[in-house]
Amino acid sequence: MTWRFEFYGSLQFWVALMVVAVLVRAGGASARVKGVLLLASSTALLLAIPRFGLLDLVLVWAITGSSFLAARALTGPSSDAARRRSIAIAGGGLVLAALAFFKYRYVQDLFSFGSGVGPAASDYLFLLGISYFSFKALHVVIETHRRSITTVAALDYFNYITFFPSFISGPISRYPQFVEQLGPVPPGTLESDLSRGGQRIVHGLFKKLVLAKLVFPFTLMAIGGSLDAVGRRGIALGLYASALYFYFDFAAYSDLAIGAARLLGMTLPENFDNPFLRRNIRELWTHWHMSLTSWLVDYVYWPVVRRLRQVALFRPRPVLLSTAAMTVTFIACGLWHGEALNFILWGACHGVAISLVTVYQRRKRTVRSPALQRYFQSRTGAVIGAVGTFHFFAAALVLFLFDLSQLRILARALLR
Amino acid sequence: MSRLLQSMAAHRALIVLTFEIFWILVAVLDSASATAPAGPMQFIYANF
Repeated sequence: MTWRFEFYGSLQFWVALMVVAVLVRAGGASARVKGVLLLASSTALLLAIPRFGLLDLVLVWAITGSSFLAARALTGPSSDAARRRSIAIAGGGLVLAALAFFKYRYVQDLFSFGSGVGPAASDYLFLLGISYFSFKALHVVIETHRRSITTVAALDYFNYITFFPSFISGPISRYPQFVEQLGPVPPGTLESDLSRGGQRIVHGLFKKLVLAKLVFPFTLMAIGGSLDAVGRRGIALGLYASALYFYFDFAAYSDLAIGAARLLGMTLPENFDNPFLRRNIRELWTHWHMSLTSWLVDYVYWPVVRRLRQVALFRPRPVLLSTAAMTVTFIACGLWHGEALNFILWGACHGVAISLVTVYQRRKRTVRSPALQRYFQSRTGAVIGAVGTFHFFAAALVLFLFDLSQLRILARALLR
Repeated sequence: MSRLLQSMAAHRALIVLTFEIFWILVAVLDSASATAPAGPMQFIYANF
């Protein structure tokens, strides 16, 4: 039998998880033993992923090690601001460079020397989990630079980055919350961890194996090859199904990661909280992939806001400033999903929509009509808002799912 | 009727779990018995 299996989708994974859970809980009286067991388990399990080899592990450790050295230097006693800034830029820059290299093909193209033949998809290098562990590493480098994280230990940091339940697709935990759980397993938590972890795993499997599988045949991904043959009704149905499929698939992964971590006595942050029941697109995004949106708010939105406050055009115009910062943040979110122009448009579309909702919310407060105020507070208002928000989210998916040439075909099909 | 509803509300979590486990088993058996079995369970966000 080879040591290769898919995470969450194979019996071997679940058996391995049970063995690790027993080991970690048995050795959990000592923080150090628990830390060593967790790191060894994460290493062994990552090497079991079919698209993850020894070289990938070495790369992950190299990126983790270099960001650790930067974080460690930043927690030192030096108060030389320029030196600390240089260390943070070097540490963060290295992580960003690795992220850009492994995520974007055009960056890899810069390093190819033109054989005259276009590279095949298999020629591109790929590193599983690169986005997620890069975000975690950047978080630690930035927070140690801000001195909100004051100590970083090697074993804790390597465990934080390579923690196997959330390695591939998050949730993106924060270092202080993760590390405080690396202490000895509190006594008397086995029953509640088993119950809650088990329930989350069942919820996740149900979303993935039943709900996602049910809606997938109706998605535009399933009929992608013949867009011009799909009528308006097929396109609308395809968009709704795609939105539901994205939710079921990714929320399923998050449930499984959170449930698996719970069996090990660790609590990961929530990632989804009924996003399609929210009354506007701003609320939807604070309940969809929550660990990423909070990361983007902390490390893209607020830094952009701080920069724009120094610009004369924006300083006296807070709404314009917030709109610009939100649009930049969601363009970054779009760019994270892919390098093509359609992802930038998708991000900008959401950024502008969230800004419009913010303006609308401000205006709502000034409305004097009691009937309208009752409507704003009513369940009917909430339902209409949720339905409208879902329609917007689904419609905007055309920009996410198709590149510009496919969008032209789709537009032709819609106008026919 | 109201007692039944009350009992259902009190055991909501258990009912939901039983329902989910039943359909998970159906899905697993369905894929196991399919003539062309599906590949491993892939997650769309795994490549981001």
